[in-house]
Amino acid sequence: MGKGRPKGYSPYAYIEYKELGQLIGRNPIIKVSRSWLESLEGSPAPSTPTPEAPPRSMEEILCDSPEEPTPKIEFNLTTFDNE
Amino acid sequence: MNNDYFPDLVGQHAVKKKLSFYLDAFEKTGMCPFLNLIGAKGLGKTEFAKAFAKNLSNDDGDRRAFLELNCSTIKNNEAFFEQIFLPLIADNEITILFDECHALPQDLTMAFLTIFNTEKNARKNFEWNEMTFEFNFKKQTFIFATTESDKIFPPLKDRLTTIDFEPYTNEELAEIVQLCVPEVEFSEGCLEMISPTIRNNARSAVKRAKEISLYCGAKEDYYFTRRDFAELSDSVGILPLGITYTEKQILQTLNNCGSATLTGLAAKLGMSKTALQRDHELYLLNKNLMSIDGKRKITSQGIELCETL
Repeated sequence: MGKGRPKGYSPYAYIEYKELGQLIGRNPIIKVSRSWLESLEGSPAPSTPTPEAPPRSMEEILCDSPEEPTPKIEFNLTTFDNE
Repeated sequence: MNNDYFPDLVGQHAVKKKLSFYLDAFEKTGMCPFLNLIGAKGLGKTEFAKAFAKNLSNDDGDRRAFLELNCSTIKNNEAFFEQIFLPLIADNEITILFDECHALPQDLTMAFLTIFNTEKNARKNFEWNEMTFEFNFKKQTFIFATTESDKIFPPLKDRLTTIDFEPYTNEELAEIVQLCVPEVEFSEGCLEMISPTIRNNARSAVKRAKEISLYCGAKEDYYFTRRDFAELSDSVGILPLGITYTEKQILQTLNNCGSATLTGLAAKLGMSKTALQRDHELYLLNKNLMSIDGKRKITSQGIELCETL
């Protein structure tokens, strides 16, 4: 008897968006391409994980360094008001 | 031509002449080329840029504001447009100095190639990150300055009008010292004794004047003689011709061993070859105290100076 997956098998399946909405609701946050979203003039949602997201391990949390803030540019502005 | 634009600044006659020409032209046309001030440290690039800006007027007759940026603190386009362009430059009448412009980040240098690629137009729109930034050269005057002109991206340098600064003469340095301490009266020949120790540099002249002011203040006597200068030199370590203690060591090393290679000299002094060349040898060569002919050698003037140290 043969082992493994039958020919043509795929781990992915198709579903109508309407039916998916009925199953998981309209609010879950999903990850899409930023440029695709911008091309549709959509605005990104906050990137915090949804409650459904799997808990992150301590290692993952420690590896996640916050984005470096842009350093302030040094400048002097003179208005010559008092000269 | 109006020659009174820079009444408080000493020397740099060629620079004054050129800048006065552009100020005259600005009064008639409202336009100024993109200037690039080039010269060694302490020659007055920033002071001249500020004095130039002070002479520029807005449409309503008010003096135009002057914004001085240190380019080494600009990280990228985003930082420049967000922190500087939008809040301070856009739609404003202002003069902007990009100091140490050889340190501009690469993406901003590329942006400037587009922005400053204009001969006649008074306006330039720059598209970046799906936004349009309008540069109005009748409202905004751009000046660049650097000590290291060889490090400016050549196509950007081509778009700028260069103004070269030259070293100050001893007479000009003496004039700067006297201007900085009007309360001090110098004995005859005293300023002539002080100025050769100032290393041809206006900033050093201002520092030397400060030391003299402190010395006189401490003594409560504002008559400064050659003897006072000898005492001050002993206290704060001013050597003949303004050489530093490292330069003194270089001369003494060369005097003792006759000649040395750059590597050998650097090893003896415990310095990097670059620092030795850039920070010390140039001044000793300029003052004809050492020569380089394959190896480093002390000159007869250097030997004479060594004997006085």
